[in-house]
Amino acid sequence: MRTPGPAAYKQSMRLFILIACLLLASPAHAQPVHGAPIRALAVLPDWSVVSAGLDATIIVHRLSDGAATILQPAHDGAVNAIVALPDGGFASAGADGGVAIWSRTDTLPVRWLEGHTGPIAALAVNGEAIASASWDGTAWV
Amino acid sequence: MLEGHTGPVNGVAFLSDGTPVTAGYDGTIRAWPEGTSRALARYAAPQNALIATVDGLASAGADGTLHLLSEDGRDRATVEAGIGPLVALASDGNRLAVAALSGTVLIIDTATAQAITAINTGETALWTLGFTDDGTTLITGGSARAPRRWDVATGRALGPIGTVPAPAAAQADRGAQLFRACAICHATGADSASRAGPSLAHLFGRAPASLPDYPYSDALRRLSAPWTRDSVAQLFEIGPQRFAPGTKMPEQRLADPDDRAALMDYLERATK
Ligand code: HEC
Repeated sequence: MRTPGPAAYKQSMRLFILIACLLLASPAHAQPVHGAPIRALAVLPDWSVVSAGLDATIIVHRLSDGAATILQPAHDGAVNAIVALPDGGFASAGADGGVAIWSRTDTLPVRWLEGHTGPIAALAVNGEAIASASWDGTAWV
Repeated sequence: MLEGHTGPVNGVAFLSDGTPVTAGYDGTIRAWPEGTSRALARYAAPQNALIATVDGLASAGADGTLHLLSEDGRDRATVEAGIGPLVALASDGNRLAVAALSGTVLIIDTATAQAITAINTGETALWTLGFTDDGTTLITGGSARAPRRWDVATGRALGPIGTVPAPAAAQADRGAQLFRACAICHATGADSASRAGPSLAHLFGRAPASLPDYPYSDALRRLSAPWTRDSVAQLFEIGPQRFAPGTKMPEQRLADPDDRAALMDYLERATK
């Protein structure tokens, strides 16, 4: 028999916290709201709404019953743009100049793209391509 | 990388052939075929948002004007929305929703450039919006801090997705109001479980990173002096990343000393 090592312990704690968050976010409780105005949102094909605030928090709301999931903090600063991706996930970007790619199932980004030296104001998607527009005066594809 | 705008780029979209187009603070709309750049249109005012529609592009101006243009840049229609600076656009194919910072949304038929519905969201600052896939519902986001739903056909409110705490209570207690930004990640009650961040129950006098069942970062574990009003206030005066470089708590600051004092008052009461 193997006893779980510290890594496994950490992993299970993460899971526990995730479940705790999901429970806290269940419809029986008050829904979480952003700590600051909402700056960006996207409606996903599975009828959930991803919203992000000037407080950097990203929340996924299920439209059917209002159940909400708070995602792990990923951005340093305001999130200015969210777009739905063709695979059901979404991308977020903002003041930190990075683009986070999220799947619909993970509460941590699955990828992180960098390149801008200034805040990102907008995102657009065309198939596999994501374009970002930045206050640094440039756009990346 | 696409360079050519003189100033911030505020909007980006793709033409039907996959060519990226951008809208800038400099008032221009530029297309970027194969890494080259060509101005499609030039407007007097900064352009805040750009979106592709079935018949071309729509660009929202800081002067309150909505421009509908064809993919080659010809002006199809100009809509003087009359609702103040425009900040966001959404499209469900034939219809366009344009949001003004002032809180008003117009639903516009892209073929006729006529407004079909006006929605007054009541937001003091409206920032973003989107259609549901079936086009029946519009979701808006802004200063109300929770997304809200609207019937596209009638403009009627369908209510928030999440509930918003009563504003009256918040005004009465600045500290409680400030703590809402923290409550997303932190609980305060005596036996409350940790959320994304550790529970703050009995915070003052507690050693940093001392909850046995919370996976703290090494950055926080390295701190030793127990939390006090002063140290927690300092944490948000200089920001977590300077206070404990490498901490998992996202960067956030409270610049106003009165705000910090109000938050510490609230924490003293709520975490007892
Ligand atoms: C987006 C999530 C998030 C928000 C919002 C947030 N925190 Fe945190 N906070 C964390 C995380 C995660 C940690 C653990 C940090 C670490 O381990 O590096 C933490 C740690 C702390 C600690 C140290 C706790 C301990 O046990 O040592 C204090 C105090 C704290 N936060 C106070 C606040 C206050 C006050 C606010 C609001 C102004 C706030 N936090 C907002 C996520 C957040």
